[in-house]
Amino acid sequence: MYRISTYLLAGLLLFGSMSLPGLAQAAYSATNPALTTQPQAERPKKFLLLPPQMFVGEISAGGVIQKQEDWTRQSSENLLLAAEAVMRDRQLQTVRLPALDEQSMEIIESHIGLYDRLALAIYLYGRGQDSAWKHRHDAWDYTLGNGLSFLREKTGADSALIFIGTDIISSGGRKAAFTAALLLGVVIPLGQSFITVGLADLKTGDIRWMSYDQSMSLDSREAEEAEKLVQDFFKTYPAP
Amino acid sequence: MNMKPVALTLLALSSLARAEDILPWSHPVSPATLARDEHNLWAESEQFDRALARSGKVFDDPALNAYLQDIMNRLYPEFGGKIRVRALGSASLNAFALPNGSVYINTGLLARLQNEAQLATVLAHEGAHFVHRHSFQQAEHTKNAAVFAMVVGMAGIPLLGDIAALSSMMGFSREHENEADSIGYQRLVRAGYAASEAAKTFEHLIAEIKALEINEPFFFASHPKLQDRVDSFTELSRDARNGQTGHETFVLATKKLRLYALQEDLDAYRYKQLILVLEDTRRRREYPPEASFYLGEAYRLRAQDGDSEKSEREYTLSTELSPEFAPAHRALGIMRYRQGRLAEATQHFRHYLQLAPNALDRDYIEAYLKESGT
Amino acid sequence: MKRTFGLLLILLLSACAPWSAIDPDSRNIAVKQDYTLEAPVGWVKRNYDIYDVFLSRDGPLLNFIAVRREAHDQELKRSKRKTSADLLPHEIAELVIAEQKANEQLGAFTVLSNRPARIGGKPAARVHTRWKTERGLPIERLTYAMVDQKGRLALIYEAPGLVYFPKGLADFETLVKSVAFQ
Repeated sequence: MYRISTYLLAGLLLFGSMSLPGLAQAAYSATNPALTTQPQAERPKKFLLLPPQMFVGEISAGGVIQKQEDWTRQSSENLLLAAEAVMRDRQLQTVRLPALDEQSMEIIESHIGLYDRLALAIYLYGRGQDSAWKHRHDAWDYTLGNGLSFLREKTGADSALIFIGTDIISSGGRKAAFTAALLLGVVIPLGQSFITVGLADLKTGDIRWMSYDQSMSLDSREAEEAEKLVQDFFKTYPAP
Repeated sequence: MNMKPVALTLLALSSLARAEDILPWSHPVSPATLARDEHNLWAESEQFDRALARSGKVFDDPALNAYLQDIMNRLYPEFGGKIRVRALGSASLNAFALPNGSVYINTGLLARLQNEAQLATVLAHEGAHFVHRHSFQQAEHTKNAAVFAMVVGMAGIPLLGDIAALSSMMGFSREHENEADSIGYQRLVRAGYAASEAAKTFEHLIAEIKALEINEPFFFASHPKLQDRVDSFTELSRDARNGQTGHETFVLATKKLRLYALQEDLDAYRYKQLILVLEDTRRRREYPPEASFYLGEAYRLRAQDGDSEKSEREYTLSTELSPEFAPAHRALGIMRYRQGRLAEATQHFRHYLQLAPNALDRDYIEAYLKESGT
Repeated sequence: MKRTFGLLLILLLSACAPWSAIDPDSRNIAVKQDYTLEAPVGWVKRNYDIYDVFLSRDGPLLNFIAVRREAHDQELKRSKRKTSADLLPHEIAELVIAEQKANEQLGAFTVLSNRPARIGGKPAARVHTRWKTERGLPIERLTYAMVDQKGRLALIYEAPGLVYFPKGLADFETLVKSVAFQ
């Protein structure tokens, strides 16, 4: 039973196998063309920050990954704080998810399950990188549907922002093993991260924008690193 | 200086197991009081519990789950219900305990047991894994063992750990399993159950697994050899006082589940299981008359010489003993349809649709009726 | 676990292997001088696969159509059953359901509808099922399956029940209607 999102893990493996150094920031994002042509008055103003779906784990000396609940909470909080700061700078409002009844939470959870799949599908096929899929980017219709529209009334938000990601951090033993293995001429994997952020219109569920980041060195438990990450994400967000 | 041996040695010795320092619980524990590593294991387990519930895998029978919980509370009364038991909708012969005290027993295993004492044997064993914190000990051991494997083998380094490896399904260590058997046995006796049933739990399952030629992983796969456990429990229970088997309460509490298991076996074409259970006249008595239909279907799927006649006999018996039970009429209708005895087929099909107007396969039957020219 | 890694493998391979967008002027796909079908516009075909035909509109995690012909003596993966040319349509449906039910990872498995159908004029079964993922996301699958002297043929459409299943359903039904045996 993996706590890592299956699909984000696929993203991790893809990064590992494809090794994409030096790609421009824009390639790691995908924007719904409708967002860029939207009149200013209709652009998202108030963002509901859904609870980040993070898996922060430690990879031990022996290569065993174990989720660290406290690190995950820390990383999630850092991302939320960073998003709030970025939005403040852009004079946009944010609100966190309030306490809701069980049925509402189940609806949100199932939509997050859909979003998880959307995130990887957009990453693989929706960015216009593959010629066979270019039409998917041009005729963008990725959506969560209107199942979360009840959150507009509950929070006053017009859009939802969600982080999903995996951040595997090497233990001290793992780093030591890395060094020792190098002496033996073998390179073993260290920690890596793959984190996405996406924006969905709460009324229609339409995905407006996504951004992705992959790193071998990020430690999202560190507030400064999470802040830099989120600032980098929003460099590709169509300016309000 | 050649760094290689130094590096190897340092690495191999870099983490020493401290599993021996982990003492069993003597009372319910709040996760907030746990050390970091164990707290994280509990948190993952809580997420797994939620995922199981959300995905609909927990068997929906509150009365059954309450019955299972009562037994666990009787075995481990000092934990006041904190060792939570639920049935999981799964045909495999499995039960497992999570680090946070959640215990799951698959419907496949439940349906195979014969009485409450055998059920208590399984639950006592799983409860012992939790109380003695075997998952946490195993996690520590796995991390350390992996270092040695990595250094020695430098091959096949897994990217992922797997919390499922900490559960009974995939294997605690042989020592943990022996300990769980021993502690579980003590709990069984203390709760007043018949100690002789402990050995019978395994004897019975050995017989069933042999008969069914089951190869998939199951509850006992990683455990000490089944026969060794039978022998060990037989020895332990030699001088034990009589205790209760709880046969009648078990049969009553698991009635809905065992019917469900019959249907699941049928849906998955596990006809051997069906025949094994329903040809046993003693066990057959524990099922309602509709069980004849399931046996008939099992013969049909097995399709050996003589099975066609056996099928027909069982379907007919089902319609006689339980005339309102629609599937048996359908089965006879299909049999007649295949034999070209269309008038009889029509009669059975019409009776079926009368009894089950909302049958999911109604359209098929109506198509066959149409083709029969009626 | 196997299903997860199978999915990951397919995802990995799908990222590396070429896809081809369906050309609106050339939608006909011929499979091994056995049957033909018309792929829907706006979908993308994977150029290699264990299936005869594998299509997706938005990415396999969001929707896919898979078509596969197998010989009768090839055991079904989970139930280990073989098929035969004389199976009745409801028996084909039972096998379809058995194969899915045997996948222990599918939670809250439900048969939504199950009725006779036709593929290329031949009697078939049409089975619509649903299950849930660990986040409670419903996944729906529609299977058309038939048997003849050559073997069995299955056409599968699968997508999350939220939004995406209804989105591609009409395209799939049209594709099924287009199947013609040679």
